[in-house]
Amino acid sequence: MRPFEYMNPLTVDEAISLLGLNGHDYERGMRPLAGVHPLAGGTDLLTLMKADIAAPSHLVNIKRLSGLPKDIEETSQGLLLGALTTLTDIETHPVIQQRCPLLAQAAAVAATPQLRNMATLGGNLLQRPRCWYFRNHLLPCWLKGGTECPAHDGANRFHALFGGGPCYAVHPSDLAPALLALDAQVRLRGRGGTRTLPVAEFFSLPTVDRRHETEIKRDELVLSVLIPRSPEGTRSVYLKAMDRKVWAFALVAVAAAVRLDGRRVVDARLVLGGVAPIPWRASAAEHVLLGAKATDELFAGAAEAALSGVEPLRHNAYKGPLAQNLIRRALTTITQREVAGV
Amino acid sequence: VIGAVTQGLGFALTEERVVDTRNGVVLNANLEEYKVPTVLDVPFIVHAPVDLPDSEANHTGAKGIGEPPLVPTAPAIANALFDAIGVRIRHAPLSRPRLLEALAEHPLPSQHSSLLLEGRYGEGAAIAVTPAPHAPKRAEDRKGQGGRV
Repeated sequence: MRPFEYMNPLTVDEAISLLGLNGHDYERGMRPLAGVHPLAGGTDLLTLMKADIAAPSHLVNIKRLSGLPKDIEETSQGLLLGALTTLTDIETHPVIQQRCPLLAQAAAVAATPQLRNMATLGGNLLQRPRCWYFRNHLLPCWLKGGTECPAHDGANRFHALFGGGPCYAVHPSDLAPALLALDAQVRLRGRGGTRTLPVAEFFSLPTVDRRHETEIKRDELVLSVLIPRSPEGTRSVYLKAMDRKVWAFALVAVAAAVRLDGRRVVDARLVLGGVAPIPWRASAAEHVLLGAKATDELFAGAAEAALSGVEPLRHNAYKGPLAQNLIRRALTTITQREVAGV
Repeated sequence: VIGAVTQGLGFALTEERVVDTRNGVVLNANLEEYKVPTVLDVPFIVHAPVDLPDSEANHTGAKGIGEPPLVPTAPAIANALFDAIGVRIRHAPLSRPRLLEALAEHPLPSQHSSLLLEGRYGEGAAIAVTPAPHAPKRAEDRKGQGGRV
C-alpha cells in the first residue's frame, strides 16, 4: 500500500470540497486510481489499495460528518436509510425485516459478520467489481484504462451474461439488486448541490468516458437511500447462489418482489445479481408474469424468458440454468400459499 | 482427522487454482477466490479413536494420522455424487459448472426436475442442483456408459 494523508472534516460540504481534488480516473489512462477519496467502512477501498488498484493521495474520513446519517428513519415518503448505515443494521432492523424482507435477507447473506459490522450502505453500492483481472495489478484491463477486457477470452466463469462489453465484470453488491427491486432512490450531494437518482439510473453500464458502474461524480457523496412504501400485500425474497455457504460473492442472485390479487400476479419486479456489470432487471420475465395466474408453469415460463437470447461466454453458461432455477424457486417461495391450492 | 476431512471437502468441492493460460498469472491467489470450506460448509465429522499406541516410534505412544483421511474424502464424495445422479465427474473440484455439464450430457429422469425447487432459503451450495435420490442400477449403468465408469 502506498502512503496517503488522512483528513477529518466536520461537515458534509467540507468533505465534498475536498473530494475529487487532483483526481484522475482510469478513463485518462492513469493507473492506479489516484486523488482524494472518501473513506467510510473501508472494506472495499482498503483491498483496492492493498492490491495497488487504488492509490489515493488523501483519504477523507466521512464516518463522523455531521449531516451524513447512519440510521434508518421512517418518513412520509418511505424508509430513509442513511449512507453510513451498516449492513448489520439493515439485516437486523425490524421494520426492514417486516416491510422489505428481501433487503434484510440480501444484507444477511453478504460477506461475513465482521465485514457487515464495518461495511456501509453507501460503500456497498459503490464497491468495485471482484473481477480477478480488474483486481490484479499485473494484468491490464479495460475497466482500469486498458484497451480490452482480458476476461472475454480468458477465465470468465464468474463473468457477465448480460450487458457485457467492453467490460464483462459483474456487479458484486447484494443490496443493489434488492434496492432496484424495491424501486429505491439514491440521494447524492456534490459541489453542484443535491440530486436524487432512481437506483435504476444510479447504476449504469461503464462507458469509455466513465469507467465506473455508477453515475456518481468524483466530488459527490451518497447521502441516503429512500425506499418508497410498497403496496400492501407485496411479498419479496432474495436468493443467492454461492460456491460455498457463506463468505462468497453471488454466482447468481435473484431479488424478487411480487404482489398477487387472489392467484393473479398484479405486480412483479425481478432483478438478477451476478450476471451483469450492474444489477440486471429481468423485464421480459416480469412481462410474462404480469396479469397471469401464479402457477409453476408460469414461473418456468418467466424463468425461460429472463434468459432468452443470452449468449454466454466460454465458461459462464452454467449461470443460465442457475438463474432460471433460482427465479423459479424465488417465485415459488413468495407465492407458496396461493399456489398450494392450484 | 477432522482437519484432514475438512481439507478433503475443499479439495472435492471448491478449491481450485485458476491460471490465465495466456500469461501464466494465477488469478485467485487469495483466500477470497481460492475457496476453502468455512465452518458452515463442514458437516459434523465422526472421529473414532483407535486405541493402539505405538510404543516403538516414541515414548508417548502417539502415531501420525493427520493426513491419511484427506486421501479418501474426495473419492467418497465423487462416489456419492455418482450414486445420486448416475454420472461420473472425473475432475476436482466437483463444481457447479461441471455438474451441470455432466447433467446436460446425461440428463436426470424428468421427475427429478421438481427436486430443483426443494430445499430451504439460504442453502447457497445446494441451490443449483439438489441431488436426486436416484440410485442408478449399477450393472446397467456400467454397461450403458462403456468405458466411462
